Amino acid sequence: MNCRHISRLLSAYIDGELTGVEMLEIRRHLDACRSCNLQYESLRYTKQLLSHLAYAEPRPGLDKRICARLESIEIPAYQKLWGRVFSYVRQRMTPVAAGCAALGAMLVVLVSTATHESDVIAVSDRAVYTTALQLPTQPRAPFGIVPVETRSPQPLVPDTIPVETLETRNSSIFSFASFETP
Amino acid sequence: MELIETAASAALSEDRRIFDELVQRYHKQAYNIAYRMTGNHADAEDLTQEAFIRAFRFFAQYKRELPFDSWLYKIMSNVFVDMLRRRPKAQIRSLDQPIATEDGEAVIEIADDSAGPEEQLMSREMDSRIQAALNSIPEDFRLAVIYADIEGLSYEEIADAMNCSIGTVRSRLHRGRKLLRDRLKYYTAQMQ
Repeated sequence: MNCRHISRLLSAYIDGELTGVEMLEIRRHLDACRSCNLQYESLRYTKQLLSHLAYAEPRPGLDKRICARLESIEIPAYQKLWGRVFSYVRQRMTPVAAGCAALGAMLVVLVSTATHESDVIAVSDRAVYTTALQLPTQPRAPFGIVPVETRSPQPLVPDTIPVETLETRNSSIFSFASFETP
Repeated sequence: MELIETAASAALSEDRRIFDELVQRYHKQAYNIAYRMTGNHADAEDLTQEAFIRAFRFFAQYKRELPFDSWLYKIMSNVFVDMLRRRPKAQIRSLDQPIATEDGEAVIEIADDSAGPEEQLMSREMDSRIQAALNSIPEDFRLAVIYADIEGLSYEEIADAMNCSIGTVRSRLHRGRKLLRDRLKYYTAQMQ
């Protein structure tokens, strides 16, 4: 370690907040380097000065004044409820159980998010046809599992759509479905 | 339903009783820290009161197995930062830096109204000098120095109280001490 590095660690050295190896290395350096040693001494005296500061006493009755102010504190209902839940979880549940509960909650959130996304993916490829051909809306499958057969176009075809367009579109849909289910 | 409400209100009154005891036990310690943070008695009392009130609001979230003072210091740090934010920014000025006046430059002198034996006078003067030096350094450094050198907290406890990493505490503390050393050269030289 050079002087610059040592200088940055001097406060932590004074507080004994370094590893044993670092402490030894700095002590050796301070024995050999007068400049760093002077810095160390001045910082140590600064710490000593602060620790000798007089204890600042409050005006008499501060505790009474604080307790009197607490009388007027109205804790909102949601905060009370949250406090009770927090307190119950902390007192009644082990960290493992609390962790499992948190994990469960996360899974529910993830699954519901995934449900929404998979619906969007499943529907987005046929959204054009659903709109253009006015296909009936499919009922939402539980947990986002959309059966492959429901992705194929419905047989309802309005008269206004040209037949060649329909064929092109239907073929692309079928190819998509076959790609999904090899 | 009535039973639940009764149980809830009993729990609240029990919390209140415990909290009152904690106020009695820790208010002086909290005030001392608050005074060193703010540098004057009026603000120190405000800070102490606000910290205890906030602690009471969130008392249900306090982990009873941990020391109350560590939790209180964390709240005090936040209240102190909020206090500083609410106020118009005070200009931090070095004690050695002369200020421009109509009659030319002047150096800040710290008022000392103490009287009595010489030692007491010296001690009071030193105290007010140190406090003025503390007031003149940035608040993050000041908090770190107060927690470490006045309250004797470990780096881990300071990091917890100040919501930062131990590395940040180390850096703030070192920079804070260096600034204080420069401002208190006269006294540290005497001690050496």
